[in-house]
Amino acid sequence: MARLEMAFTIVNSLGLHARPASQLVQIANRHKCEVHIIKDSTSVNAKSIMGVLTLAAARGSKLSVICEGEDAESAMTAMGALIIAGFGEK
Amino acid sequence: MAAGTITLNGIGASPGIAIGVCWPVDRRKVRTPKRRLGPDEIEPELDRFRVALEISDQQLDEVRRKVTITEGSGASEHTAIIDIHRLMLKDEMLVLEVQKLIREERLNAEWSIKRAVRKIKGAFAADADEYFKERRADVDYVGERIIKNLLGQQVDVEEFPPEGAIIVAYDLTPADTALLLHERKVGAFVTDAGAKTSHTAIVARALEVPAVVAVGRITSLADKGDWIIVDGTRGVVIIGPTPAERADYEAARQRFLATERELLRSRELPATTLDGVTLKLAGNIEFAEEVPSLLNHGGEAVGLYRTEFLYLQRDRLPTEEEHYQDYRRVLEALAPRTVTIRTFDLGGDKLPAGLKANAENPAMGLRAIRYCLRQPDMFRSQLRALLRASVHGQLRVMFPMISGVAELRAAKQMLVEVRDQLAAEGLEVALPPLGIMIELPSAALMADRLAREVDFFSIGTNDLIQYTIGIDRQNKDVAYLYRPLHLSVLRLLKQVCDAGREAGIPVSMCGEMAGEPINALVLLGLGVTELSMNGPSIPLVKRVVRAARAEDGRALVARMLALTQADDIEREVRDEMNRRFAGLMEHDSQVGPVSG
Repeated sequence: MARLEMAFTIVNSLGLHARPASQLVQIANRHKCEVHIIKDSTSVNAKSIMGVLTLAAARGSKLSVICEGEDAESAMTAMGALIIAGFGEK
Repeated sequence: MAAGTITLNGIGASPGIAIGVCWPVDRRKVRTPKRRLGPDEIEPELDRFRVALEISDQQLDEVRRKVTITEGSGASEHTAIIDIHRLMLKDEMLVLEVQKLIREERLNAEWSIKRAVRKIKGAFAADADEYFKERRADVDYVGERIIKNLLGQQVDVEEFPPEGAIIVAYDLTPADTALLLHERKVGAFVTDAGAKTSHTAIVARALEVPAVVAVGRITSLADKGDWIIVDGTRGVVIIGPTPAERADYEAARQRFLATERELLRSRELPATTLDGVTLKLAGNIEFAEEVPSLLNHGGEAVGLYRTEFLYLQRDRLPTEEEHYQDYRRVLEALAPRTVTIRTFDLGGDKLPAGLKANAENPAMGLRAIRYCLRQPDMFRSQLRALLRASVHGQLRVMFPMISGVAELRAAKQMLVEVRDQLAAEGLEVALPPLGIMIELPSAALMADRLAREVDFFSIGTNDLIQYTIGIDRQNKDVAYLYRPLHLSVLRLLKQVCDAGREAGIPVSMCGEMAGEPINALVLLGLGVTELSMNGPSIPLVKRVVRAARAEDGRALVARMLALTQADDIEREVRDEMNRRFAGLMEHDSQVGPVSG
């Protein structure tokens, strides 16, 4: 089973607000693997919109994304691209 | 009727003035029945819950459909939040918790939902930003919707107010706001609860409907049919205004509308100065859907079409055909006006090794043209689509983040190869005019050399300023250093404009600076030939340009360059602009009534 873990910094000015959070959750839900996001010591299921919003990840927050399962790489690629690109926001 | 006049203060969440009659929307909290279940009632209760979730999802689907039909893609703010509520309905934190409470604690579904909602809200960090705290309200909305469905109560607004009514509520769910706005033209929103980051506020701003939130007592003081004045700019609500107050505000509203009309009349006029210098005023867009609004505001071209959303709208790379269809749509909509399309300007779509270090400092990492040159296949499909689309209008192609000649030549080489490839396939196309973004100090400093190899420049001031002064404007500790008129920036701008003029190529500007009327004279003086901004900024900038002389701009720039401190340079510009264009640079929406 593939297990990937990568660290990211939230770069868009509004942080992981509603729209970006739902983009991430929708990607996670399209994948079979388990996806968790860790901020400080809190870990949430990335398939849960409420979980991701409770992280309250503002700009500059450091997150770890962990994908575990057969399509972990594809999930990591898609989520990572969005986070790095600041969700297409400023 | 309210006795006498009552003036209330809240948070001005969306600017503008509205005068209309009160239309209350009842949003009282639902009473949650609490009951312990008998052993045989557990399975039926789980079913009730499941059915209520389904009904709730169907209702939101219906709201979303209505909003999409009436608003097209402009409804993105609404649809995004409705999508989030639908995700919440399926969320394990809610669903599993409620099922567990029904099974193990034998609580009825309504009570279980209330408990689960409270637990989820408790999980939001206490020190979270206002925006995130406000999302707890979304959890409430979703919980209440399910409970109301369990109880068979009316959930969404079913009766609609007359046009121009002032919607008064304790709070409005995003679904309420969406339905109200899309069924009728609403005058304004006033709520007891809420913050600047509530959905009602966000949506009201997007649709230019005045709104005042966090008023506290409006629902208990205003009755249906009362006259209400809403000043969304200053956060003031007046219930039962005196005739004098109404007249004052009506006059202010008329001035606002008159300015609006005058600005729109200027749509067909050229942006030509009194001494005969003509600027081209263009628009920055992200979606093809923004074209009508741009043309409506008098945009003469698209000066910057950001293609990033093509890459972000899906969880895979866009195909050449998807690129092509999108570019073709914009080119055809604008023809015969020019459309400048900027190639991929993101941090990357795959995760190459060493990404972690990259993500720590994305502004200086593997992004934009650098990434494209590293991923030639991805880049080629965009270039092929651009060339194929070029036959449908007046296309200009622009590369972002060019730091020197080598990168430019490499990118240009790829464009030539793609053209030859297309020719071999039987499609002969000419190379479109090719330009680069000047957004790195390195490019500005060697603009004279770069100018020999391109057909136009476009200055991206936001990045140029950040890279030149070495600050991140989003960082509160250093944001004060973000000075568009810092002498270093001014010198770079001058160098770029001079290089463009000597080489005989147009110099456009597409950063925020281009859309600020106060900078218009400076940019004329520098010799910028095209300004690209958000559509709604065009009329004001045009008004200033038409009242200005380029000659005065050149004299102003000379005086600015003789100063040293950003403070002094800014003051020089402010004084000059206030002297020459007092009153021309602001939209009257920002000005309240003279008295009152």
